[in-house]
Amino acid sequence: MTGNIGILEYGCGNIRSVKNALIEIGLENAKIIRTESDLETINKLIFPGVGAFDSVCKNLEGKDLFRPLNKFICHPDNKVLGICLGMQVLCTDSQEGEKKGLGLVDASVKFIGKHNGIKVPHMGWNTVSFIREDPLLEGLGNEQDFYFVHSYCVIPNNQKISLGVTDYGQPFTSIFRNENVWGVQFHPEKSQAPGLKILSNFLRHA
Amino acid sequence: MLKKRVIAVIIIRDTGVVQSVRFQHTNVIHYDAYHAVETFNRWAVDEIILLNVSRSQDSQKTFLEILTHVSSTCFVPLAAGGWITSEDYGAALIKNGADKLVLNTAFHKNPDLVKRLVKRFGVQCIVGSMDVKRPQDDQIGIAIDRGQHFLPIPPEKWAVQMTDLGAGEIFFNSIEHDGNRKGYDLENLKKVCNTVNVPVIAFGGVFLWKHMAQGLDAGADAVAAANIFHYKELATKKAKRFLADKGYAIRNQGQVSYEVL
Repeated sequence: MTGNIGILEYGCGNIRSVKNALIEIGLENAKIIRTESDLETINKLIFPGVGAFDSVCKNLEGKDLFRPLNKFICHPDNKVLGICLGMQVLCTDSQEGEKKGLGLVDASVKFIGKHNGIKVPHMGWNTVSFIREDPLLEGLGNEQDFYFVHSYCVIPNNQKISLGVTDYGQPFTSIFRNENVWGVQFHPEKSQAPGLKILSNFLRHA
Repeated sequence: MLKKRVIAVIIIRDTGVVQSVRFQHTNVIHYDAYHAVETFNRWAVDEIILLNVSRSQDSQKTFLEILTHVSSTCFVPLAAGGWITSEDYGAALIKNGADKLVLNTAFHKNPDLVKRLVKRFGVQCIVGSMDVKRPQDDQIGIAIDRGQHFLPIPPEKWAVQMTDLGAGEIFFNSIEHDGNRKGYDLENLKKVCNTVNVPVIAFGGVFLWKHMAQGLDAGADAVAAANIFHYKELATKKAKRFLADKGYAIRNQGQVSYEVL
């Protein structure tokens, strides 16, 4: 059962990549979600995001999507997968900006730091170690490499929501799940077979 | 652990994929960039850079169409560059499948454009491309305008200026090494890698896989090649295997299969 699937478009990033990835896994007709009434037609939402925390929040506000998104996600039958900045905006707040996030996940977003001379942004393929079982991770074994591009990372207040951990200078949560909300810091749509598998799992099993 | 990336560069002139030798493009390798992108994806490449080296700005539209087409079969990061002369065109490339923009001449001629693109899309989206040029043995600098206009600035200084303007990554090439099969310009690559604090992609001159190892030893975060990848079966896969066997941290995705709905 895949449900009715939508990709949120609000002017922050390249939804074409996500759309291409969904087509590759056999979903030709994902809806592009731009308004509150669009949200009412789906029960699974992919929430991509590129850019800066505040500009993502501003765009969501400007398109009157903040409250509808909250409403959508508060419905337990609806599922959402945040990608990269989409994951971060599901959290409470971020060091990157002044704006408040959606606050659907009890976590803060912090600068990834410059430990041990690491370069920022964290850019490239890095390993995610899966620390809990979840339908999202079916068939992926204990760890996989995914493509990351980010300078801030999510720090959950409750570590139990962490499904995957990545090491860059220090370990951080690269996948979380809080009930019907999933988030991935990497780009599954740009991570070849393992990434497409995550999207396919979200559509089929989540 | 963060992996070292192996990147395929696809050089587009007008409508075809061409070979580049010291910035001259005499051989058309493929007529269809789509096929090249599809093949490199199958060969486990880590990233793809699509460059428009056409001699005229009129090529913008055709290049955008090529990008749009190839992005539908690209499930690794895709960077695009060449003739990015306006914010609108940069935005159009992003909207049509580019994950990153590669800029070169704009860093000198139109820094304001670079700043606007950085502000709009973030530093992670902006790749500063530099072409080292050595007009005479005792003279070193960088070239803009597809190699035509020489600026006597030390390459590592230029790299810093580009990161100051917001380049989140450096794409390093050296004109005398381009297509020359001698390996990268290690001397200048090393200087750039030691100076900037953003990832550096080495490019220009790979003929043997060991050249890529030399690039990583010089400090590069990613190693790129163009011509050689088109001419060898399973090229990117073999390059990665070579580097992994030598002990470099290279991505191996193993046997993951995904269900098609």
